[in-house]
Amino acid sequence: MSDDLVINGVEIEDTFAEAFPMRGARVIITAVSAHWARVAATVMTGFATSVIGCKVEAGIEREIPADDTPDGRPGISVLVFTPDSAGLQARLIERLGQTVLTCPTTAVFDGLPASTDRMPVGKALRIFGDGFQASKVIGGIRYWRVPVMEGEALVQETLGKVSAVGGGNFLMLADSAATALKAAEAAVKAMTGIAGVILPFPGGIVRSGSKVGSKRYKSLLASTNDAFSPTLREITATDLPEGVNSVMEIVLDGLDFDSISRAMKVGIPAACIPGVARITAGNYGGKLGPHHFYLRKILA
Amino acid sequence: MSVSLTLRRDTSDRIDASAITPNALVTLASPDIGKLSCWIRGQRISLGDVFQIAGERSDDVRIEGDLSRVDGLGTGMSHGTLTIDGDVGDNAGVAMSGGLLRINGSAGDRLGGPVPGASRGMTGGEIIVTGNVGKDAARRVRRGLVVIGRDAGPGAAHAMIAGTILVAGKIAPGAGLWSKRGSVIALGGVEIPVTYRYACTYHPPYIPVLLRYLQRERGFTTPARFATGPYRRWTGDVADVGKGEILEWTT
Repeated sequence: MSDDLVINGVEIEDTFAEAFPMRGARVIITAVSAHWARVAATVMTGFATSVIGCKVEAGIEREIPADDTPDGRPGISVLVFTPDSAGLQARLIERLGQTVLTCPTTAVFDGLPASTDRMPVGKALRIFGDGFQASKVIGGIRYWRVPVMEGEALVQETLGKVSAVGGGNFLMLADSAATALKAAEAAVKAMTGIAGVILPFPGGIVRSGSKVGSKRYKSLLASTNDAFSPTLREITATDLPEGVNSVMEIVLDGLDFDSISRAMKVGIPAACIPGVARITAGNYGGKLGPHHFYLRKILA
Repeated sequence: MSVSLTLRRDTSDRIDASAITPNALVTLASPDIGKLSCWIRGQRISLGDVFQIAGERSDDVRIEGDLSRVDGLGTGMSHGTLTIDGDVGDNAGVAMSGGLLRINGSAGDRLGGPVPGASRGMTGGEIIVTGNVGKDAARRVRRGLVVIGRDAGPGAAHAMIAGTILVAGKIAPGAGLWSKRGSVIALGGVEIPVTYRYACTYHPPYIPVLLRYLQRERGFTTPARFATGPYRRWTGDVADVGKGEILEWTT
């Protein structure tokens, strides 16, 4: 067909990724070194692949040079997403309290200063100071100084939150698991560091994409995406073309629609390597999520 | 648009110009600004007789001239910016509650303090002085930031309730006496009162945030060694609440 879109011999299916409204926050973690900033960010974003089981999706957005952080130390920005506002605040308090407040030399700053919708996360964390905490207002921003055994932890009183988008995605249909992984790794590499986007799954990649609900177990919120599972090709309604033996998925959460679009625009072409037959995306017919990322439109 | 005031002539008399605040000038046309009062030897004088006025209806106010005998500038200011190019007299920024008072020069006594008889001095905003200040700077300050580019005279932060005073030069004896809370940040040396107790030597994490803010937003630059610390932390005044601190930069 003349309308087909093919990149490096890989067919880009004429379909769209269906994504959902989320609430998002950006946290800037600084530390005495880039190593400790990353340690804190890595632990904070652990077990945060999917709201289905983790209640939160989180990931490292990018490293921030020392010159660009509020305290002049190396920093990491982390994006955190939940389906609702109350959940976002609760998850941030839990995670910052348990993983960053505990981590040597770290400080916590807001990464969405323009947001007028604020969460009193630092205000909640301050009480760890057991009444010995003190605040400082610098440039109209209140920070809490929490005395700790190391010395003092610094946490900004409020963090901004915004309406965000969760669940942008695309799938790489390949001739082997090795090829699918290689394609996904290339896409992740291309999308790493793009502002406003995280890839919340391990290494940015999902091997076990899911469908909504279950055909057999009523209590399950999600179960294996059998239409894209190669071992089930002959016993389910498959969406896999001939020659496809493995599929990997990349899920994207973003602070806005355009951020995810920008990431997919560079990620999808990077995944178009020999052995990949098709790039497609997951959707529910457009009936569940209001955000639709049309692959061909993004790549146009 | 801003309002610019220029002292018409040098004077040997002290001038009380506490009427000059951005919040007072923001709604006034130029002729009405000239009708504001200032005081010389107990006599009321129109502001227009003392200052040449340019501009109107702005909370961005700039004053020029030898103002070392002009007192009370910025008294009670609540918002806006008051910039003074030159030295000023006493009582600048007294009872200030907001905005930015920037003095590109030195200031006299009682900078940011209370009006006579009041229990609280400055309750908000920022005062930046690039030069020296006299005695009793930041006395009874409740909230806000006072930054001194050079030396501070005796009695700085006396009975401080909260807030922050940073002194890049030396601080004369008696700093922080009777303070309840609040921070005295001493970059250039300070004599610690006997009613302060040594706590530890450490790196206060808010210091680099503060110094970077001052550099970025206020053009107030300090050498990098002050951001990296360390600082000796002294807590006091233990004769009062004792939750105040003197952070003394050390090598």
